[in-house]
Amino acid sequence: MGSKKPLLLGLTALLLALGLSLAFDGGGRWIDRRAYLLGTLVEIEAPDDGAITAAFQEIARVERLTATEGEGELARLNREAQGRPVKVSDELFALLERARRYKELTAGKFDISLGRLVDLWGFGEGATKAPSQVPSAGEIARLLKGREIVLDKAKRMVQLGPNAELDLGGIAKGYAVDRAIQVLKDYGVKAALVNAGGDIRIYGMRPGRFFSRRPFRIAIQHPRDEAKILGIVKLSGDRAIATSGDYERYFIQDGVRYHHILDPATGRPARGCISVTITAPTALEADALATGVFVLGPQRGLELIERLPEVEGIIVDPEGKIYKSSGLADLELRY
Amino acid sequence: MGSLRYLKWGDWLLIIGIITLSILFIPLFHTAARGRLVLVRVGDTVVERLPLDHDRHLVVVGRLGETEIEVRDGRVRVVRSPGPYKLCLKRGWISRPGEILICLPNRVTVEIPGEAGYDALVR
Repeated sequence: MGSKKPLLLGLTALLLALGLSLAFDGGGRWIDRRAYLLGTLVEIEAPDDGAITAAFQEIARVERLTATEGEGELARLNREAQGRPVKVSDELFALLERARRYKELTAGKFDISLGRLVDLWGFGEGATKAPSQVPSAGEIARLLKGREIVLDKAKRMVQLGPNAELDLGGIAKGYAVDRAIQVLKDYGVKAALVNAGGDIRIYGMRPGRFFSRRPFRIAIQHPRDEAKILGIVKLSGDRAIATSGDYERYFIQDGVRYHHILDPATGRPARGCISVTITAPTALEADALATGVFVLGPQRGLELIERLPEVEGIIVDPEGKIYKSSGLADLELRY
Repeated sequence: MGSLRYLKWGDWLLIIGIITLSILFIPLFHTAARGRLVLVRVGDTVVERLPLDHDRHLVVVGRLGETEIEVRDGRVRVVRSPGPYKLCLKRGWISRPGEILICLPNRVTVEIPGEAGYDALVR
């Protein structure tokens, strides 16, 4: 070996250092796990397996709280609170208050009291086959009435009108995602993605190639071609994104598409948009606003988005025209 | 084994370094091969690993019933599955890494593992 020894040693040390640093890249390895919860396939990505398990457990807890069937608190409220006040947990009360806030923001278009109408149309979560018939105008009109929700903050009591059946489908996933993110943060996780069937929240930066970190890339589903995307939104920091569309739960009768997002003013599918994507600080906000803006329609919806701080949006109308809020003006999208 | 005594500690370092690097290269080769594989899951369990370049029809049994899957010409699709809206059928063929068909009610997924051009799909 002789004089070559120092060179060889140096080279070996360098290789070892490189190898070890690649193997133990600071935050640990990036783990991707999925579970069937909230009636969808929930995906969590983070560098900590134990934290992911705890986050899934938290989502399962929120699922029990917000389920419309079974022995959860919301299901019980729906059974017992018609015509008389029922005491609920602080958590459920806070959730109902937040729902009321989004109802006010969206001029009544985001409405959690439409459970019976959704079931009448046949779009309920438990449905085993797609509906095929438009309900009668009389039935729709009857179920539109008597949907009051009375919240008594001092006593934590809730009372419902005779036709009010609470359906938290518009915010339960968002809330569950926010709770899961909180659990991951409590564990000290530096970056994560939680995706509950398209209600997504991220924080931090995702590990990229060779030690780098990069923003998360979220693709937006094309509303009329399952194989296409509208474009890609890059998110970093602490942001959520959600979409409401007419292309998953729907049926076609006499050439007309009837989908599951009902306008509380008419009891029929909202017609102004075919897809609405919202980015916001929390998944609950993104979730609720995506639904509310979808029903409001492009013009009024865009006005609302522009008025709200830290909220951006992308709206597609039935002609395929794309509306973007000012904060996303540079985003490239193609219908 | 006696000849190992002639190796100096620098040689050992070199050997260990090379082994470490070799292990680290494994994922690179994996990525290259991944696009050609299909993973079929029922619930959390992988029930089939199929090469994409080998035409095949198969049926797996999920929570509600049978899901029928077809692999043809380097693509894969679901041709039959229980569930109200048939979203996994409407999606049609998939062929690129990172693409996935989700038959939600039956808890069956058909996935081509690998990196897509994005981290998640909002829908």
